[in-house]
Amino acid sequence: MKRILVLGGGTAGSMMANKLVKRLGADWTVTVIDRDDVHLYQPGFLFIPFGDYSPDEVQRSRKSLLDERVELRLCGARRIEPDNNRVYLGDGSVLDYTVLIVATGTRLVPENTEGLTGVGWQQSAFDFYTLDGSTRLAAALERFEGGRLLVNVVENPIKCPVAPLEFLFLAESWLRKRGLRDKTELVYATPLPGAFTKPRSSAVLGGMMEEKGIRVQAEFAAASVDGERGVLTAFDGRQEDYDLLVTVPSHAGDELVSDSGMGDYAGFLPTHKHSLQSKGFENVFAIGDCTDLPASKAGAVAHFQGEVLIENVLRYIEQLPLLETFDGHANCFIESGDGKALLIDFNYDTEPLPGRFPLPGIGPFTLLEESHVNHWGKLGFKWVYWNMLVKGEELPLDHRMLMAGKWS
Amino acid sequence: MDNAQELQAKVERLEDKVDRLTGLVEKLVERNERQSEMIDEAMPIAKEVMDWATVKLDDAEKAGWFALSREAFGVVEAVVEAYEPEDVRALGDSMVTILEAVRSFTQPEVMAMLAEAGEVIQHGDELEPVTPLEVVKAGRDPEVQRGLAVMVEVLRQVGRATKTMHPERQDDGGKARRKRLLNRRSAPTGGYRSMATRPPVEAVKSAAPAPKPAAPSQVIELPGFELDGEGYLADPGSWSREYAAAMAAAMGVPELGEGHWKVIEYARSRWQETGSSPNIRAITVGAGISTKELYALFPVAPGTTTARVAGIPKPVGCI
Repeated sequence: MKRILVLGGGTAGSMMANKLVKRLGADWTVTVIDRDDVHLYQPGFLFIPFGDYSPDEVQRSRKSLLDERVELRLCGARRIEPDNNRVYLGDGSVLDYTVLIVATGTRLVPENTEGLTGVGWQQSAFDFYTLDGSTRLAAALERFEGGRLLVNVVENPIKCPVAPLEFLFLAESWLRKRGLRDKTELVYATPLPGAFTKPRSSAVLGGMMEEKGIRVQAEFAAASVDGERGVLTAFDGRQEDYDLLVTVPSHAGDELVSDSGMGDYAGFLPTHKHSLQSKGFENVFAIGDCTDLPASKAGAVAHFQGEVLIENVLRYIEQLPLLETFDGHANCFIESGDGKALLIDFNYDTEPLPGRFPLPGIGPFTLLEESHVNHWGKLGFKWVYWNMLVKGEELPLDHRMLMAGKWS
Repeated sequence: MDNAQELQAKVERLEDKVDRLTGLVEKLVERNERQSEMIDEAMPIAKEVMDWATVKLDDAEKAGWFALSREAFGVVEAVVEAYEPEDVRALGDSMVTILEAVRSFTQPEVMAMLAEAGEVIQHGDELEPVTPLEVVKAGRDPEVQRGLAVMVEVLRQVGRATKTMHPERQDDGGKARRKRLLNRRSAPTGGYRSMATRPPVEAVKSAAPAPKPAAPSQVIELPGFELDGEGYLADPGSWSREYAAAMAAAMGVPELGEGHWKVIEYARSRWQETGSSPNIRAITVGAGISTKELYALFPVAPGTTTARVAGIPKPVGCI
């Protein structure tokens, strides 16, 4: 029996497993390994702090999302032995594979920042990148009466690089509705040279932070948190006080990858950027947040990668040369508050440009421009996610980024 | 015996029910299958349609159709601002008359006449001023006489139209006219609403926001090396140790020691391998130094400074 082993039953892993069983013959087994049976709709975490989504809406059983031909084992894995095509599972058993697909995602490491998980963690300092964090943050915002709200990205890469901006925009709009905006100072401390770093985005959106009254601290590399006094200190000595800290902690690859000696400095898997084959091993492929690719860590990216990866796994099996067609394509809605959102579409080489998407001139979505339609798109995406994307169904979108509809 | 018969009857009834239910379930399953089959069929078709529509619409966009319609929308907006709905209704009522006017204006002879008149006006400065005596002389020219006859007829028509439009202004011996003119001089309004609200050109010019300064004064110039608009090496492949030394000096790091080179070399190799500029943690882990040491080497923004000196792209987010 030949086996394709998929490590991780999240967005990328589930989607791949569902695609694979549809395309492979009965002589193949597709096995997915994960630790638990909770599949999370991570884009929904952003809406939980403001009470727009409930925690129930963003979770489903992994099993319910997988084709019944997929074998799901919820024992976790301890070590990969790529030289022997073998994975040691959490329950002590061993599985051999013909092809391994690593889809282990990324995890948060708040411990990387001195003092962050000490006094005040989950009381005055929160993350919104976990279900637990965003749920607790919702309760904290409910109690919030004004003061200084500090949003900080500790370091890049992070999942969904626009989420911190979206959080700021939604918070600004939410505070206004609550009558707390005048009593609240909003600060954004980012390790990047600014809130917007690409030329066209800076030109089009540059004034947005100022208009919304958000102060930006650029090149701010967070070193430590003093939870007792409510102070965030950067490596260069700059300090920011806060009453409420919303942090995006350091990210790392899964321990399974680093413990197996396959990861880079942070445990991300070195991967060929156009074919998605791992750099170390021919029969090991990677998809989603676990890679070291210079693409965004986002579900949309995993979706576009999936279209290339399914072909490449089949081509690998057939001993055909791999496709080199993944171009880093990403496509994200950016909530901007007051029921509006922006949309960006870009890849490794092309920065986000203004225009219309997906149909040139018509849209209905507006690129790099606020509109209500974009916001409705973001809300409607939840259904698409649960019913089509994770199921591995085909969507009528090209996996490559197209210049059509963009105003360059 | 009775019991057995009753049981049999019950079983038969149950069988009937089960049969009916089975039929229903089968129908449901069939409908479900039909739907999911339709989705399976529809998606690849939708994709083809999307591809086709994308190409067609992109052609239209490149040809400028959408830009044109966006501009046209602006024109419509200006009209909406300047006119009341009654104006537009009146316009609709006179559409036939307007079209007739347009038709008679666009007769070849009239067009030729207009073109000639335009020519004369354009070259007006080349004509000598005409004295009253010369006016009288020109009056003898039959062509001028014919022209005058036409003008008089046109003037008569204009007068008649004015009379029907403003019946209240009849026969007041010019008093009302003088009054209106006086008023207009003291309070220069009038014309369409948009004209009244539109500030004079000079005011528009002075009210326009001053252009923003192009970029923060971080941009550095290094003679002999080609930098991009933001002060990073334009072509990472053209990097040299001389460039690194020059850029470091410009960034306030006068001399590059062993520690600096370790950082620079790691940053370059990381970029070559992965295509992204390393963050601070990647640099410290990769070059095997502590964060404190890194800040001692490049005290200001070591992430971006390293990228500049190593000749690799600026660390960026996705927007």
